[in-house]
Amino acid sequence: MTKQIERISNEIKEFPKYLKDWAKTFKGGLTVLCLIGLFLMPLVTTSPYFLGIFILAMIYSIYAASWDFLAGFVGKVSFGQAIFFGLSGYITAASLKFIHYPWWGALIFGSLFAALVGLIIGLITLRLKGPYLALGTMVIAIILQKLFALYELKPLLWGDEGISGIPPLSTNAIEVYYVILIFMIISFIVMIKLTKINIGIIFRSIRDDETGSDASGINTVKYKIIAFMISSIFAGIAGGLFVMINRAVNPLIFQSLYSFYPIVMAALGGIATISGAALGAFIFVFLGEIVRDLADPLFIFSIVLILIVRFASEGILKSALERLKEFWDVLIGR
Amino acid sequence: MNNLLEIRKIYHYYGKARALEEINLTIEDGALDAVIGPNGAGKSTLLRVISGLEEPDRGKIEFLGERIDDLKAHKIAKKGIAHCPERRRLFYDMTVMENLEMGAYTLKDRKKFQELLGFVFEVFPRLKERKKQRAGTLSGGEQQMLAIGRAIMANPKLLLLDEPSLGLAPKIKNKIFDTVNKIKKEGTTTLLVEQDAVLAMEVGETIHLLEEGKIEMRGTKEQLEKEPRIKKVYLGI
Amino acid sequence: MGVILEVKNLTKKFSGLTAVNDFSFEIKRGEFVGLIGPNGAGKTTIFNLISGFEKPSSGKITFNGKDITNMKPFKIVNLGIARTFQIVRAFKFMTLLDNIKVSCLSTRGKELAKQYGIDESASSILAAVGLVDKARIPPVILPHGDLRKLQIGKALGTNPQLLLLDEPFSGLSHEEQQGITELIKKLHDDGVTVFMTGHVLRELMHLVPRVIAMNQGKYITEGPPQEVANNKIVLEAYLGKGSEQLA
Repeated sequence: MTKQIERISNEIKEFPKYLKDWAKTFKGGLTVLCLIGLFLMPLVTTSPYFLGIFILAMIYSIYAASWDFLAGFVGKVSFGQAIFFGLSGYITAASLKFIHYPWWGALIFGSLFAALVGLIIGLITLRLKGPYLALGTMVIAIILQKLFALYELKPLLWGDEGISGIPPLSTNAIEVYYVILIFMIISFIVMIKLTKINIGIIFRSIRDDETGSDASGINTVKYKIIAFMISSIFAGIAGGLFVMINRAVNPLIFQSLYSFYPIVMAALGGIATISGAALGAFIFVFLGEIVRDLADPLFIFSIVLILIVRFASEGILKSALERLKEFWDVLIGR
Repeated sequence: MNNLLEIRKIYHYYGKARALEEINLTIEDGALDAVIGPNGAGKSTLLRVISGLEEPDRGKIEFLGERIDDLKAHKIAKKGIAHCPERRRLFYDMTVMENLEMGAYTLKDRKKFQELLGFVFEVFPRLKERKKQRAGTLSGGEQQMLAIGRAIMANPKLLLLDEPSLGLAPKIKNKIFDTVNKIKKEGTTTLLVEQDAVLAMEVGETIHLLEEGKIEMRGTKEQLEKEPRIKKVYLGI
Repeated sequence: MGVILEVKNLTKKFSGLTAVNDFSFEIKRGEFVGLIGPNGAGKTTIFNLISGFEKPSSGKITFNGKDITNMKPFKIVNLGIARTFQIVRAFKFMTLLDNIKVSCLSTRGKELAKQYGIDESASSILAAVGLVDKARIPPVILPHGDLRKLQIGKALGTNPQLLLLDEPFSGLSHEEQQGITELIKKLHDDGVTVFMTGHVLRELMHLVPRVIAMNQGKYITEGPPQEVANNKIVLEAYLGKGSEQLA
């Protein structure tokens, strides 16, 4: 026990130096630059439109990262991430509008509910492998969409009109921006850290060889469920924030498109990187805005997906980083 | 006598596991040779490398003077090598007749087809009885007969038989080996791979003993029986 | 020396095929035993049954007096039985060190690692199997012999009392086989009970003092390798009927 306390206090003492060393590395420095950029964005523009694009990108970053965590690090590919996104959205919306929770209370409530659902879905889909897991999660999302749109269940589930007129997180767009930026940073720090510590090693062993992991004495059932819950809680955070930005939620939040978004974004940025999810989300959202008046988003999205699969199956992050690093090395004359 | 098949310094790996190491083997035209050895020695791998299902990592294989180690399996089949694989691998949903027809896929000569079919039904009358039966419903022994029949239908110059006695009762085993002898009498060169050393040595003219991917020794039945090596190879001690 | 593993009337049927048929044997603590039989005899099925990857149709398996017949694999590992696989398994996208660490993170492995920490524990296991200089490399680049060593290392991470080695020599060159033999001998000397099976009998038959022979799911005989290799039924199983003259 004392050894662990010793280790943790050492880590805390070393932290500032660790941070400095990390910032000096190429990846670290780049990340710091991006973060500084994001922090300073509201000084560049206070237009709700532009800030809104960034806000959407940051929310989608968390959403995409939640999927990447499960798929890239535990090897469980979900085609129904919208289950948690949407359920948390509904719970958050309902708590805000009908129970008058403060925004952070509603968000906690929604996310915890998403985690609970993650536990249940994890248990249900436990024995499903590969394509069957994908199908199973997809089907559940479709069921939810139909369920929440049912006229007969309107008194309970609000029907196809959903919940609207949700009180905002804040009337000040800049406040909203910074709140969501903080959420994004914390979510990423937590998810990345999880992949690096011991439990991350266990998760990756399940991804690489589940039977082998069993044979190594790991209770893979327990850890698969934990992984599902982690993934769902972050998808839930994204869902709750999403709903608060839109001030409304309806059954369309469960549509397959919303389950595919995080997949495309994570694939774009690079699966099994977590940070790639952010890159993918930002590119995706910006691309979406640029071509919004030109074509249907589903069409754009399909083209992007085909291009990724054909040309950049590892995602953009790794190769882009490599090119940038080469460029940087040349620049500083290495 | 010509060498129908010449294998020179063949090496093959499955990923990193070595399966065949410096195999040198020749088969004369018209011979009935056998490869024996314990399980995992590489017997099936050897046949797969010859028939093109696996590409050897190193070495040369020549069939009738022509190099075949770099050819795809279907091209090798067209040249006249028929491979009857381990555990039969029939088209289980097709009938006996259809399986035999599939075996003659590369055969253009209609007359030859009838001739071969006649031969197959002569050595395996049970197949004639069950012409229209689905292959998956045949007994183990009948399935093995069909597998060999299918290979014969390709009118091969070289027939590769992979463990035809696997999983069969002794009576059927003997029947199969009688047929192998008959095939030889018709003039087809055969390379037989068998785990059952005793049976293989009964029929084979030249026996090659394979151990861990290497040819440990070769010779006639009498030569091999004099050596205690076979037991040592199979049982390690 | 007490009995560490007891297998009683073990039977496993797969839709019509009886892979293991009323099989019984026992292994004493600290022993070094081999299981032999021709292809399809049921050796790997027996290993799968003991390690929990298959459920028996009937019969009982007892480990240190505890009934483990229908237990889940990871629970059996945490009681003290570790196994390797015939076809090498590794966590292919993780470093060798991390591969071992996974085992050290099992409940049983953590107990062993408590004193020195998981990293040190994993490192010392890597050193024990002779792979410490490749700690940061992923398994993809390794030669086959090293992969077999890695498997044994992964098993060691769970601090096993009984080690089941499924074909540890398959696909290896003679030098590589010798390396594995040295390693297994050392483990046995350290007190681990070793139960191994294989087709490559050249090493195995000179390594173990006792061998159990099986064919078509059934127990044939057991005893010192020399005796078993001369047993009529064993010879027939491997070489075919009428093989006495080859003995």
